[in-house]
Amino acid sequence: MWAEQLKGHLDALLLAVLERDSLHGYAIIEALRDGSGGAFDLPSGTVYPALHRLEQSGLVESDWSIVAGRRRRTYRLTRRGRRALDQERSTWQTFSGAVGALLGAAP
Amino acid sequence: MSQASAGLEEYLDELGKRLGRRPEAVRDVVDELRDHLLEATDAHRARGAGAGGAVERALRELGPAAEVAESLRPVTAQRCARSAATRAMLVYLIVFDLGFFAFLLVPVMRSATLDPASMPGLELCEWFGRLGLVSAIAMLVLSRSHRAWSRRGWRPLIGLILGFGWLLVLSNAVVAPLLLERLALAFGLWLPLPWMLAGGLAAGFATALLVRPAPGVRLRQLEQ
Repeated sequence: MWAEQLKGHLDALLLAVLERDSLHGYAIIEALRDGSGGAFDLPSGTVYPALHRLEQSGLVESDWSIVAGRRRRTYRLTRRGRRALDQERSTWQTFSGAVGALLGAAP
Repeated sequence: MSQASAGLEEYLDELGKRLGRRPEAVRDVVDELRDHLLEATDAHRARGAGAGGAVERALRELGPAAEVAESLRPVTAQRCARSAATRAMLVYLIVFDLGFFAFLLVPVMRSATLDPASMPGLELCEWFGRLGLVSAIAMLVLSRSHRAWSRRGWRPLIGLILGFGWLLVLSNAVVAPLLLERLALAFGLWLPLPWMLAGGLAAGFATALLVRPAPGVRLRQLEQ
């Protein structure tokens, strides 16, 4: 649901989810779903390329651990990622405020 | 192995094959998605699904292996390019050090004079080596930009850089045995021609193995 509308915002949403805690891929997808009240039930396959892209850009970093006998990658926000998230938040607030002012006003 | 987990491994196998067999980056992706699928399967089972149904649902949510591989390919290619470029630079530095050792240090130590100009093709190979180094640096720079690996317009440039990168292999295949021969001479030894040829082949092969662009970097894979 909302997959089309989320294009362009996915990176910011992932950063926001990781702001609170270090999480592995499945937990990130669950956090996106739960945090949006089930609205952002994204195809899992779209989340991993975005996470890897964020890692290449230095906005998140990852560690490997062994859990239940299998390798697990856990992501966390970097300092640069935190700054990028602040910037995204501020841009979003300006944008949503402007859209809200136009769409919210009944004629 | 149960039928359900066999289905899961089959999916991961296909994904791995589509991304390329060798590089560590691909192994990491496959391991990460295995963890995801097993977590998702456990979650579905906790909600009451049967073993087979839970795996099937987890696989459906992740999407077809071909689509997932397609979306991950630019990322793995970028990562593989970075590691291949780093190795290429390392190889260049090793050969450069060998040259320094063979032409400057050893002759001085042995009070011998070695004239590099008398070696046919050495200068050309030096230029090949430099081009190889430049291409490795260019690849390293490109590997920092996600855009270069996800847009078609960049592919001719990547192809050109990869082409120049192979000059490093050619350069090492010629330069390494010549340097070894010079080193042997400086120590008063004589290196027979078959040994030099074998050394050249080994150096070229070793360089190719070390710096070959990982499968994720191959243009045909990026073009799919």
